[in-house]
Amino acid sequence: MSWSLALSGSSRMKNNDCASWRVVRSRMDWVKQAWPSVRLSMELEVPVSKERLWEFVSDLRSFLTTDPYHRRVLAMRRPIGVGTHLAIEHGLLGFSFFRFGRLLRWQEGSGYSISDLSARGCRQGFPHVFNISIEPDAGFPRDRSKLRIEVKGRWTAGMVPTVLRRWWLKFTCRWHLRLLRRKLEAMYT
Amino acid sequence: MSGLSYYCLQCYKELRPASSVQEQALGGGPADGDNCPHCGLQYNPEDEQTFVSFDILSPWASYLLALMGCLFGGGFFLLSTNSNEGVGWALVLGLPICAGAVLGYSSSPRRFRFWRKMIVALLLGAGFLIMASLIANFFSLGGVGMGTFCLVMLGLVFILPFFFGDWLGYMIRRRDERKQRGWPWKGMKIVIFLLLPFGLDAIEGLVPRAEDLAFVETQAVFSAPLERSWDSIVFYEQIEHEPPFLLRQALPLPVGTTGGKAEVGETSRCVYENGYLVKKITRREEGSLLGFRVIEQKLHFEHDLELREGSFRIEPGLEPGTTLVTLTTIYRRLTYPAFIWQPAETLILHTLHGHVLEGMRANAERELAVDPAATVPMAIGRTGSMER
Repeated sequence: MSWSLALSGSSRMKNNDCASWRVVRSRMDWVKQAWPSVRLSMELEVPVSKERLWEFVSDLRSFLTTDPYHRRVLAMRRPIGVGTHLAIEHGLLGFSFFRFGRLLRWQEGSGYSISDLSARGCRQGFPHVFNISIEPDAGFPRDRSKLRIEVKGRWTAGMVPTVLRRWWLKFTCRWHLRLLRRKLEAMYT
Repeated sequence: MSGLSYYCLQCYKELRPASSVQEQALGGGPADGDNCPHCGLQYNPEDEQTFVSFDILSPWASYLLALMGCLFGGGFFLLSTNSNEGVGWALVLGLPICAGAVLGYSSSPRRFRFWRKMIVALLLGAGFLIMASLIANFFSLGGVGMGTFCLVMLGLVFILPFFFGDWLGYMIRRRDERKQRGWPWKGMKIVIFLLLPFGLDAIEGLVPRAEDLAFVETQAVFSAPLERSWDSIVFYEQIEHEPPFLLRQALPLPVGTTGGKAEVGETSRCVYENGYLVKKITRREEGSLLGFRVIEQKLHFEHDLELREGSFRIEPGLEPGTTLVTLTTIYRRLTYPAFIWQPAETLILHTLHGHVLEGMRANAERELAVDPAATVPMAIGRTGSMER
């Protein structure tokens, strides 16, 4: 994979620690899979250490709502742990509705996974899983880290033409990346 | 408002968190949560965001709301059928959707199964009519401008929009409960639902509506020569046979005709039970066409359609010794939306045409009845109806 700025873009931001101009770079990758499987990955290169990035990523309410459709995330049980049910309020075209999932995996400091399923059942309404992982940049482990978000799911709207499906998923991913990039810039500048 | 019940955020089935709260109050450790017995979704009885609570109206509040619904619905029904030109979108779709929305919005997931909703819908419909009649009597407005048949039709038309409104109201309520909105907000929504038909009616009144003419054409084959068939139409006076069931329910029964049709300009008066129709002959082509214009209509369906003109067209039939008679009625449609009412209008006018043509055919064939060969039974046919 090569950095594809055309797909998602990059923006300059000022890093106060180093007093120099740094760049948050992002890219999106579409993995070809047999229909109806969907697999997308988004990667952001953030000019902060892994630990500082984890502070943001591990805050589920804030991180998971930095998404085009997620309005609110409710943990159904406290304290949150693997297996905790999540209610994710989605907003689309002025309508809001809940989807439900679980915290599937939690590796302190390096990532976690959540599922995002329809209220009608786990085989309806684009069931998908978010895998979120953080790793330090190989070249500058103290200054840079990589945030990787992988979405694996099953496209269930069989009536939607392939072209429209692809456009929709890419459009959503680009939007998601843009929101994340802005948030990261606002936080770490 | 009374009673608070708790429901699962995912399946909206009832939860019973009280036990765990009580256990906790009795000295148990902090509740770490429970699961919905139906879908298994976790919830925390101490965290209101993890479940939905629905306020259930007290019986008195429900009765008051039903009374308000009947008052507003009946008032609107009366306004729409009497004061306005005719039945429109606001009455046919707006009123049932809003009535359903009031029911749906005031429901909780536990209340009102389908059959209960049907009963509520019937009671509401009856409530609208009773309230409309009471208001009409109180203000001396002259009653609900609809007959039994129209009311039954309207009831059938109401069912689907009513259930759509019920679903819509319930969805809005669920959303408001998830957002934990208070009763001032919810009460405002109910008032909006109650007033919305009036607003829709006002908007509908602002939209200019072109004169919508339609026609219905019915054909019958008389087993009589052309001249005799023509005479039976021109000198037709009395209907003697039994009207069909639909006609007995839907329209005033045609009784007979007085006046002349011999020349252009003559008027004839078609007498119905509880009404009449005055026609003026506008076109007469001897033995082939008799056209007329309706100059006065008092048939108790003036709110639904306005009869304009019509004609009898007479042609030789396909078989020798028979005559094909086509009766056409042109009318102005006053009930909307047309796609709902047109089939009913067509059916009723075809039935009326068939009844009148049947009487004329009986007159034409009466003298021929002695000859068995001449009384071949021929079904009354329909050529159709169209909008103009």
